[in-house]
This record gives sequence, structure tokens and C-alpha cells, in this order.
Amino acid sequence: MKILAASDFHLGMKFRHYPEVSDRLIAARFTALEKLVEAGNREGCDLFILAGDLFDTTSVPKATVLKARAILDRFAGKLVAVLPGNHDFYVPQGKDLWETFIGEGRGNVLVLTEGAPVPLAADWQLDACLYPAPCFAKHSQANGLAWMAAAPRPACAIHIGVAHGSVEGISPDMDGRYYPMTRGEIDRLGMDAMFIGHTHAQRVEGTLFIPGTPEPDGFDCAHDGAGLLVELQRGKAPRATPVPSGTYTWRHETHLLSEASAVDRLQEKLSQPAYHTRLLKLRLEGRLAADAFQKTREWGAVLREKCFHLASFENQIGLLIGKADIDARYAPGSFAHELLTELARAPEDVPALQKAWDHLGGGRP
Amino acid sequence: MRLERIRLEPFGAFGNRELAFSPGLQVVLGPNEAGKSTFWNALYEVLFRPVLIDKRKTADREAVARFLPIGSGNHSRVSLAFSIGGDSWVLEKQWQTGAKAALTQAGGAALIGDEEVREKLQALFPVTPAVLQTVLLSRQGQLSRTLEEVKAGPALGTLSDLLRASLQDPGGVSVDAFMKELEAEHENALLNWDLAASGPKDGKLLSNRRKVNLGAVLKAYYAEQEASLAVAEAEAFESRLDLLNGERRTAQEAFDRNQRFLDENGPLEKGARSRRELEVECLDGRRVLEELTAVCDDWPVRKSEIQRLEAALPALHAQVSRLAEELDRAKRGEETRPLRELLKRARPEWVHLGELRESSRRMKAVSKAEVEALRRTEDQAKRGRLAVEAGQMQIAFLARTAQKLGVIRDGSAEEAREVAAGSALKTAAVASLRLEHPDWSLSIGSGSADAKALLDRLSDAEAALGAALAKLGVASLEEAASLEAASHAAQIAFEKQQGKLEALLAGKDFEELEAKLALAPPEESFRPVADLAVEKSRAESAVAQAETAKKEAEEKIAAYQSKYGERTGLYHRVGEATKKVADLQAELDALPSLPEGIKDPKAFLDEMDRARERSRGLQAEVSRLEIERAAHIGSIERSSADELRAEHREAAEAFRSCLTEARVLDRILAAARAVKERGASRPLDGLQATFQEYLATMTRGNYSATAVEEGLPTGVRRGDGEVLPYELLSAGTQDQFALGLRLAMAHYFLEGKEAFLVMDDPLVDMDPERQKGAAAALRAFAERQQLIVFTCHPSHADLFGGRRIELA
Repeated sequence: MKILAASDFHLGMKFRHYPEVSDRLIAARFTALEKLVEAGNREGCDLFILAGDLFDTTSVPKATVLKARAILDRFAGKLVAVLPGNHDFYVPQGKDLWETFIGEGRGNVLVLTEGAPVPLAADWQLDACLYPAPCFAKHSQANGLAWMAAAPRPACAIHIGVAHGSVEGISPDMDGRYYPMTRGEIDRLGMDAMFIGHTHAQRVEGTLFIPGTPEPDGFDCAHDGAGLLVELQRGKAPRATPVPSGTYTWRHETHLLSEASAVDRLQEKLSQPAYHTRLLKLRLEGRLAADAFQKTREWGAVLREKCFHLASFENQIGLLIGKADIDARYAPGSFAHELLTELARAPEDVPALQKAWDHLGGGRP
Repeated sequence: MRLERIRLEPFGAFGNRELAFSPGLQVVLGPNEAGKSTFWNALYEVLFRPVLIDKRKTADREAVARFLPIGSGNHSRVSLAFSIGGDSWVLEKQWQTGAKAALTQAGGAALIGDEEVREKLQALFPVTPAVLQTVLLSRQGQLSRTLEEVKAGPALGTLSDLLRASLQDPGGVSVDAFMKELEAEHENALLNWDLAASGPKDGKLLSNRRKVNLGAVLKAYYAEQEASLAVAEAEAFESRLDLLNGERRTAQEAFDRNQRFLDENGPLEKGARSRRELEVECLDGRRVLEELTAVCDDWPVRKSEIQRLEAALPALHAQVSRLAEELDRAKRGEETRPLRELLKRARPEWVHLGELRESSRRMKAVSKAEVEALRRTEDQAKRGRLAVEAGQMQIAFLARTAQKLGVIRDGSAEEAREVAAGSALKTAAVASLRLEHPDWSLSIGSGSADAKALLDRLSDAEAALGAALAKLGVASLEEAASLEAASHAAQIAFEKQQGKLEALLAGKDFEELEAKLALAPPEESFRPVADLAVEKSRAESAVAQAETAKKEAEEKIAAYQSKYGERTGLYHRVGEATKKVADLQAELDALPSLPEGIKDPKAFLDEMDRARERSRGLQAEVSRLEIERAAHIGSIERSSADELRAEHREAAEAFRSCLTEARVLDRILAAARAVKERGASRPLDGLQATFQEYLATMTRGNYSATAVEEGLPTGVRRGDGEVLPYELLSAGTQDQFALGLRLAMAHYFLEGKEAFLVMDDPLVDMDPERQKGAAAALRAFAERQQLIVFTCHPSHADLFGGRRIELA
């Protein structure tokens, strides 16, 4: 059986902090979903598992919900199984997004709203059974795995657990508020495959599959975004392959530059095509001589043009401004000479020296 | 440093052109477009422009392009020869194709490369490159413009202010423009932000935020606070939503459970109702059956009981009578019990009295008077013995040699004695003593006539004492006294015992009382009265109980007869009741079972009623919570707390960055103010004196001196003595002022050094009179330093004099 798995699309995220590119970031999340549906169809996947947080909140606009549903309806496999996560948790009989999403209940999309076995043989001709642990609230200190251990298991070839929450040792959850699960708990269930959403970075360990978010959504999400293609066959070890789906990458890069050659190397790196789809926070540190320093000063403008979005550019490089530089540029006794000499005295004044140098026209020949 | 020659090959419009310079004043004269500016630019470029151009540096890129040869040239080239202290140097630079920078000292190796050439030139320059660029090589227009900027600055009311500012400004920086820009930037960043307290001024936190006049830091701060608030609100929203969802889910699950219970057990309700009624009937039937069965069992038992009691009652009555008699006899026996007890206690005392009497009777009788008479007789004998002992002689005979002697005392027989040598013979006598030795005899007499009488009286007294003792049958006075004391003690003991017995018997005679007791029944022939009384009471009670039980049994049988008639009728009724119970049980068994764990149909039906009530309540609760949840969610499209947290992180980062930038600005501003302040108080003696000298030369004495206040010039003194502040000077005079200032500054910086000054049309805006003055001042300067003046006016060239270089 070929399973395509993904989680944490967070459709409906607004990206208000990046107003210049928010529309494209919002659209990219749908694009990732489309890419994965197309990849699933191309690979002949039987089952598409969405392990939670398809939507960012329970109050996303109806249009967002319907658009997602329309994309998923294009999946040509047997079934799309959607688990409500902690962002888009399920409220029994609730008049919210899942009611809209389910609609008239037609098609091959199933929302896993109950902690009970879902045999797939009768309705979807798959020799497997799903064991879902849907979320019913944003936060919970208890995970939804308990019932799986005790539940009788129908006779079928493959038993697949689907849950959403933090996994000990893998996902940060200091207060244990996100349906925390331990590896022991997961392993003891003895599932043939366990798909767990919530963690945004992809990870595969034995039968544990964390698909990760297909489209990174922040600077703490330093990967390229992918779904996961898993081939399961009774008696054989599962085979997992990442399916690239991300459009934009988020990187917070800090570079220590202390010589001109390093500046040139970084400049070459920053001109690579990967930066055309990158949201970048760039921080430069170190001390450079004037020429090399001047090159870095111009990167802000260049990157704003070449990068998809330069979120911040912190050029903390100090110019190696010495007495000779000051003497060369300004007459002794002049205001500029005395000011720069004053600021050149203490190391902590390097940023002030740098700025004053700029203000006084240090960049001119 | 003195310029000697400059060659352009090619540069700008010149394909190959050279100018040679000499010391002192030279005037480069040429009409417009003759190339004065090209030479001036070539001089600047060769001294300061690197040959390897960073193409991203627009200024460099444009400058190099501008000076490429007009037409199809692919490079430009300038060489400059100069001398320093007699040494000749050649500086060559070529831009674009074949770019090269070289500095060669005559007879020495060439330094190649921008950096090497730049470093060496800096070392050779008499002044800093900055002074060279801005004072010695600047166009006159630049200086005038600087002065205009200086004039436009604040608080430049005096000439000294102007001079100071001029001195501070070299380097192409207008201090006031810089300060103005810096202060504006500082204001934009820190308006209404308290940097020291690191918070908004006047406590204008987000809750009472400032609406206008926000600096960048304050804006970033409010943005960060708003983002933080948004996170808190979103978290509160989500927590509340979690709570409502949890409550709603709990209520829904409870409703579902309850509904399942009702659905599963609804069909059992009818059967449960029938069961409830039948169970009541069945219970009643069982109760009747049990009652009848009990009567059936009890009736013969009662009958048998009556018979048993009737048989037992006579024996019980006889036992009561026997015990009454025994009790009577025992009571009588009880009456002699005190006498019996008294005699029992008195008998040992009576026996003891008899023993004392017999003992007294057997004792030897010595009276007290007899003992006294005996004591007197013994006293007389004792006094005789004492008198004899008082008249007795004590003799001591000391033998120096051993002696054998005969001793005769008071006429008694001789007593042989041996006395060892050195020892004494001691003896005594009343009337006489004689010692006999074979060799001698010694007689000693007392010399008293009464000694014999004393001995006689003693003899009589002792005879009388012996007679008295014999009479009493005792050996001594002590024995007689002891017998008398024992007799007296026995008498007292007897009397005491006799008193004790009399007290015990209250004066009655023991023998009489014993005779009286002998007439009473013997003690061991009756039981204690109390025991007999209890036994009799029990026997009477047994009789009463038997009679009561008999009566009850008789009454019960009478009641049964009254209620059920004869016993056969009763058995018939038992049969009917048994059948009814069996029928009802069969009906109950045929009904459907109650749910597992429930045995009582009433409890089941009550539970069903309660479940229906619960369902209604839970349904209402679910509805209420759904309404509350919907109201809480509202119609606003919200961002998740996670996304808002990310936004807050960004806002916080922006705020920190903005604050850091503002601190840097603040530091620069503080340092700039301090530097400016220091500059304001710097002595300007050298500059001021030189300036006055040049000013006097240029104005031909019309403005010969400046007013001085606290050692600093405050204005310009006119020929008629009136002092004019700088701003009231005419435009021409201000031009002279600017030129004089530039010459003074060049003089100031070049003091004691060899250098050159290049000027571009310095007289162009002056009237002929002022031109003469200015030219005189320039000539005066050229006497000290090399001065190269570019001009397009032949008349100016005439005024300057010096060496003329004409450009075609």
C-alpha cells in the first residue's frame, strides 16, 4: 500500500508581519497541497493521510475550507483521511469548519472525528484499519492514544495509527500542553505505521512517521517543506521517501566575516537561485577593512531585490576604522576628525563610530 | 611638497598635454573650454582616485568614465611630477584598460598598486589628504558654499563663531548641517522615549499610549507591546475556547451516554412496570402464606405446652412450701449468732486468765518489806567491810637480793613468800604484820586500839545477813528482789486479763453465758437465711411464669380458634395461599429480565425517569455551551496564538534593533555635542592673526582689524572705526572674507611646511577694487608657498602677476 502523508499545512495563516509577501505565502500553502495531491496521483498512492492542522484555526474563512476540499477532491487514490489537529480541532456537532469541510459527505474524503477503529476494507477497498486520535481542543495535557491500546483490532493486513501532538524528545513542548506522547507509548501500540502531525520538521524512525509541514511557515522552520511517501507491505520494513512540496524557504543566517575572501564567498552564495524563494534574516558579524566592508553595506539593497523577502538585515560588521583612516579622510582639528577620534577610543563605540563615519560621508572617495 | 609638472596622455579632451610649474605664483590662463577644469580634475584624480574601480561604486565608475578620452579611448592616464625637500617623485595613474598606479622616486624603484601608492602619498603629503582635498585643492566656489552653510547655521552671530566653524568644517563636513541632521535623526528615533529609564516618557505605556509625536523607538515599542497584548488575548481566547469545547464535549458525551442508556432500556420499561405490580402481589401472598404456616406450626406447640405446665405446677408449689419452713428455722438459728460469736472471742481470754492464776499460785512469795529488811542487813555488813578496808596498812618490801620470807598478817598463820632480786613484795594488814627471815624478823603494828572492834562488828553483821538470806531461802539480796518483782508483775498481769475479760463480756459471767448457748440449736444444722430467701423467691417466680405461660398458651389457642376455627380449616387456607404465590412467581418469571446489575424494577423505572430528566438537562447544557462557544468565537477571523507569537517575536526583535540603533545615535550625538563644545572654546590665535593680515591686505585697510572680545574676533572693523558683524558685510566683502579665510586656513595648516595651493578663479565675483586687494593677498601668500591659480580672465591674470601659463 502506498500512503502519502502530510500535516501542518496551516491553511489560513495570515502572515500579517510580512505584508509585502503575505498573499504569496498564503497562496503557497495551497500550492503545497496541490503539489502533494499531484505527486500522490503520479505515484499511484492509495491513501493520503493528513495528520492534523490542515487549517490554522477553527475560524478560517469558508472559502479557505472549500478551496482545500476542492484540491483534496482531486486525489485519485482510494481515500483522503483528515485528522483534526490542535489548531483545527474537532467539536462534536459543532457548526464550524469541519461541517463546511465535510459538506454533503460525498467523495473520498473522510474526517477522522472519533477515537475508534476505522476499517477501510468495506468502504474504500483498502486492507487496512486506521486508528485515529483526533484533537478536540487547542491544548490538552492528555494525548488520544489510550483507547488504541485497548481497542479490539479488526482483521486486516495493516494497522495505521494517526495522531497529532508533541513527541517526547522530538518536539518542544515544555509545559506538555500539546497532546504529549512518549516513544514508549507509541511503540507499545504496535502499529504497522504511526503518522503523527504537529512537529513541523520531517522525521522517520522505524514505524514512526512525522511528515512535517509541506510549506515552512516561519524562521523556526528551517527546511524546504515536504510530504512523505510511505510504502507499507505486510512483513516488510516500511519505505519512506520525502516528497518536496515547499515553495518558499525561511532562513535566519548569521555569518562571521573577518576577511575579504569570506565576503566574496558569501556574496557568491547569496546570489544563488535558492535565495529567490527565500525569506531571509541576515546577520553579519565581524570586522572588515573598508573595501570589503563597503561591499557588505550594499548587500541590503541587492538582497531586497534578489531575495523573495529580506525580513531583516543586521549588518553588525564593524569597519576597521583606525587613526590612519580618520587622518586620511579628515583634517586634524576638524569636527569630523575629532568626533571620529573620540568614538574610536572605546571598543563598545564601534557601532557609533561606524554610523558616524557613514553620516559624515565616509563612503565617498 | 611642490608641484613640478602634470601630463595628461590622454585625459578628457586632451590627448597629450603637459603643464610645468615653478615655485611661487603661477597663473594658468585660458578661455572657457580651454581645459583649465580638465587640468584641475586631472590633478585631483591622480592624487586621490584609485585605478582599480569597484564597479558598484557609482562615483568612481562615473568619474573614470567621464575622463576617458572623447571618442574611442579605452583608458585615461595622468602623470604628476613633484618634489619634496629636493627629492623628485613621479606619480602615474592609468584607468580602465591597462589600469596602473605607480609612484617613483628619482633613482629609486617604483611602488606599484593603488594601496601602496596611496599609503606612500599619505606619508609624503605635508597635510592630511583631507586638508589637501578640502583646503588646498578645493574650488573657491566650494569654500563660499561652505561659508553660506556656516552662515545659515544656528548661533553663528559672531565672526569668531564663523572662524571656528570654518576650522571645524574642513573635510567637506558642515558641522551644523551634520548636527542638524543628527539631531533630526535622533529626534525621529527617540522622540518621547526615555532612554535612561528605557521606557516611554511621562509613563505613556500602551494603555494610555501617545497618539502623536512618536519616535521610531516608541513606535516599535508600542508595536511590540501590541503584539504581546495580541498574543495574550489570543492565548486567553484559545484557553477559554478550550474550556468551552471541553465542557461542551463533556456535556455532549454525557448526553450521548444517557441517550444510549435510554435507547437500550426503553423496551424493558413495560415489563418492568408489570414486574413491579406482580412483585407487590407476590410479596403479599408470601406474607399471608408465611402467617398461615406459622399458625399451623404454633398451634400444636401451644397445646403441648399447656399440658407440660399443668404437670409441672404441683411440684413447683411443694418446693415453695419446703423452702418457707427451712427459712423459718434458719431465722431462729440466726438470732443466737451474736452470743456464739461473743463466746468464740472470749474463750481464749478466759483460758489465759486461768493460766495466769495458776502461775501466780506456783510462784515463791517474797514481800517487799522482807526485801527492804534484807537490804538494811546487807548495808550494815557492807559498812563494816568498808571500815576495815579503810584502816588497813599497805606494805611494800623491796629485795635487793632474792629472799625467802614468812608473812604473818593480823595474827594469822605464816605465809611463805619468795621475792626475786630487784622485785617488791606487796601486802596489807589491819592491825599487825610480821615478816620472818632466818636472819631476821620484822614486826609492824597499826598502833590503833579500834582495829579489833572493827573486825568484830564486821563479823556480827555478816552473821546477821546470812541468817536473813537463809530465812527467805535465797542466796542474795538480788535474788530476793527478783522474786519480789516477778510476783508483783504476775499479779498485775492477772488483774489486767481479768479486766479485759470483764469488758468483753460486759460484766457477765463466762460460765453462765456458756450454759445459755448450750440450750440453742447447733450452728451447722441450717443454711444462710439470704440463700434460702433467694431460693424461695426463684421457686415462687417459676410458679408464676409457668402459670403465665399456661395462660398465654390458652389465650393463643383461643385466639386461633376464634380466627381460624378448627385446625383442619387452617390447613385448607394454607393450600390456597401456596398456590397463589406459585402462580404469581410463574408470571414474574415469564417477564423480560431487568438490565444487568438492576434487580429492582422500581429502581430501574426511577433510573429511566431520571435519565430522561438528565437528557433534557444535558441537551439544554449542550445548547447553552454551543451558544456561548459561538458567541466567544464571534464572527472575527482570528490569527492563532502561535502565529501571533511569531509576529511578537518579530516585533520584539524590531524593537530591540531600533533601540540599539537609537542608542548608537544617542552616543554619536553626545560625542558630537562634546566635540563641538570643545571646538567652541579652542583658541584661534594663529588663524585669527593670519586672517586679519590677509583681510587688511585685501581691503586695503578699509577693514583692517576685527573687534575682539575675550580674545576672539566678533566682527569686522571698518576704516571709519565702525564694527560690522559678518552678516552685515556686502557680498563682495564677504567674498574677500571667504578668500582671506581660505588663505588663512592654508597658512594655518601649512605652517612650517612646503606645499602648494590651487585656486580656481578666486576673483570672479569681486569689483575691480576688491580684485586688486585680493590679488595682493594672493601674491603675499605666494611669497611663502607655491600658488597655482586657474582663471579665464586675462585682467585677473594681469592683477596676479607671477608666472603665466597660457592654455590655447
